[in-house]
Amino acid sequence: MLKSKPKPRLGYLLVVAGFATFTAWYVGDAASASTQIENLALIVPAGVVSLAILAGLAVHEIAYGTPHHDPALVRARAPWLMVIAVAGFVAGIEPLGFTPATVVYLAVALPILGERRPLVIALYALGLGIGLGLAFSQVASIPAPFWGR
Amino acid sequence: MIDLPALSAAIGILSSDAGPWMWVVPGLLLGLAAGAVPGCGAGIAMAIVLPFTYRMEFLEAIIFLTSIYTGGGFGSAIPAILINVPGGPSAVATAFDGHPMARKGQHNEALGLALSASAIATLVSYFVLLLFVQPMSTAVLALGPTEFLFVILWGITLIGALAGRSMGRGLVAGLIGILLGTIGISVLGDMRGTMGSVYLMDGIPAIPAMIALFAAREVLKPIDSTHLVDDSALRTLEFSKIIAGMVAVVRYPGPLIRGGIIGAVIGALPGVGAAIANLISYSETRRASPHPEVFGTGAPEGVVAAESANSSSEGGSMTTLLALGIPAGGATAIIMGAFGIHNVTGGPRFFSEHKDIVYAIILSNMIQAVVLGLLGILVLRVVSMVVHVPTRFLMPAIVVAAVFGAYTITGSIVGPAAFAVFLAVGWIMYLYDFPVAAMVVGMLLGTGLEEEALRTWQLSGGDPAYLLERPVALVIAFLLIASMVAPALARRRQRASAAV
Repeated sequence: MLKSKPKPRLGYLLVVAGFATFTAWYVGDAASASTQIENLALIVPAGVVSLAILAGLAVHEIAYGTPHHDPALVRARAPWLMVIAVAGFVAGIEPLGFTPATVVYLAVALPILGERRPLVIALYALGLGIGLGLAFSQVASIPAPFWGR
Repeated sequence: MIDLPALSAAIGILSSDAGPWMWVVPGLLLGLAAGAVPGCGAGIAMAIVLPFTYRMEFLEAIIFLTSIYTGGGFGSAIPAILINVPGGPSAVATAFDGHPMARKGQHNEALGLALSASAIATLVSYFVLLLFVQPMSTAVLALGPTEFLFVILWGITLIGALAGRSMGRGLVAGLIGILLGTIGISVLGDMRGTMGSVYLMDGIPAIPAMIALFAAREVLKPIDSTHLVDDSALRTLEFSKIIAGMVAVVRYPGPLIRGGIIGAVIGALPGVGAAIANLISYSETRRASPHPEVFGTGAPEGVVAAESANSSSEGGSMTTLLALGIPAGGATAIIMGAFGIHNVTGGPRFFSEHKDIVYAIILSNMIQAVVLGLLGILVLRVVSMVVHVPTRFLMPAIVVAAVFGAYTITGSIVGPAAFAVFLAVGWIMYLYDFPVAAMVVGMLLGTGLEEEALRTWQLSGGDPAYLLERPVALVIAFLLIASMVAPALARRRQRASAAV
């Protein structure tokens, strides 16, 4: 029986395209700032080599596909929910303060990671959030917006 | 080779005053703790305590700071082994095999190995420094920007070629890292890739980005196990196993000696240091091994190679500082700051006029390495408890500590923002098998690479024949090409034999 050829992965090709777009944009942006050698001595060679390898990776993927990958991992939603939770945590640091933002983040992250007991979530979020806030602000005396602006 | 009267005077200084010794244990503990927090590291701890050294005597201040440096060098290996997030760039290669060992329940042994490799390499590197501080300083002076350019390129190429399954993806990750590392204001004052944002004028904060790239896989990967180590029987803390790990280092004299030499030499090069030394040592040990396929799956010699190199680089970087007055990296720049606070100017003049003080610093660091070995055993017992914490509680706590570390480093929300962005980038790279280590190294060294490229251009006037006048640079360039070609040929042979 003939072995079927692995299909090219759309996600992989999108990542390669994303890297290529960034590289082309950055080289163009640097060149628009100044075309002097001092500005482009490293960026242009690095950009050109990077684009050439990316083109090779794309062609290889289309031609041969990749047998080693885990589609279930690519489709998993929990990692992206965690990324959104972290982004929300970071966005909340200045308006809410480090300590309240930590408490909210922990209360959101624990259920994403599988913790289902509300009391445990509340105690952990409040305990660790307030504990870390006090440790960093009072013990270490590190200047940061612990309770918002 | 050694100025014996100066050495005798140094012993006299250290034995007549208990003051400097009072700061060794607090410094080591501070360094161990700071190194164990991803994103914090010895450099930040040293920077924070630097103003407080104003009230100390000069020797006390330097011993305190170097104790933090020594403790931090090993401390950054702890999270690298236990949670696959290096405490700093110097422990990147430690994670390659240290964490797989922890996953197999060999966390005690891995930590013991790392501790003894660190302590031995630090001790030996300072002993070498004691013997060769004068000749080494002369040798470093002979290297120019072209040599530094090729050393940095070699480091990035090695990690790009060896970190993942595909050399192409590894090199792309390294090259994009280099480009990311050059974002910000150029030497001519041009803004590149900032999109007009003032927050990016100083570039992307590399350390928060590094923490996020490494943390992505561990923090975001859907949890299929409740603990870092699945088998509860293997999660036990066993003093005997830590000791066994420490003793086991003698089984790997090759990686230990190779790492020690690579670390001392690379550490002496300004701007390169431990971040590259551990990668080169790891790669060379893997290349020299009769079983390179076991690297990355929990090979003890991988841990020894990485830790011995990053620890011995401390002695190398102190050579450059003490003999030339040039800081080889962030930590030695802070020590140089302490020189300034005490109105001391480092360099050849300080070295020739105060050899007794220089030798006292070196001797005290040798003692620090011994104390680290003893103190580390006690501290490891505490930090190894992390394997008992269920991952659903541990991972969010790591994110909180990393975000706070990112804020502390940048002093603004830019650090946490970079962390969030690169967490997503790191996850995408993990999904599609782009090695994050290559991007991290590219980012960390991008600026230095550009500076050396420009200096080389200025010196050569754009004439490639200039390289013929730099034999050392040519040798490094040859090694660079060989390190790209050899893995490619090995992979091709592997594929060919698999197809048969």
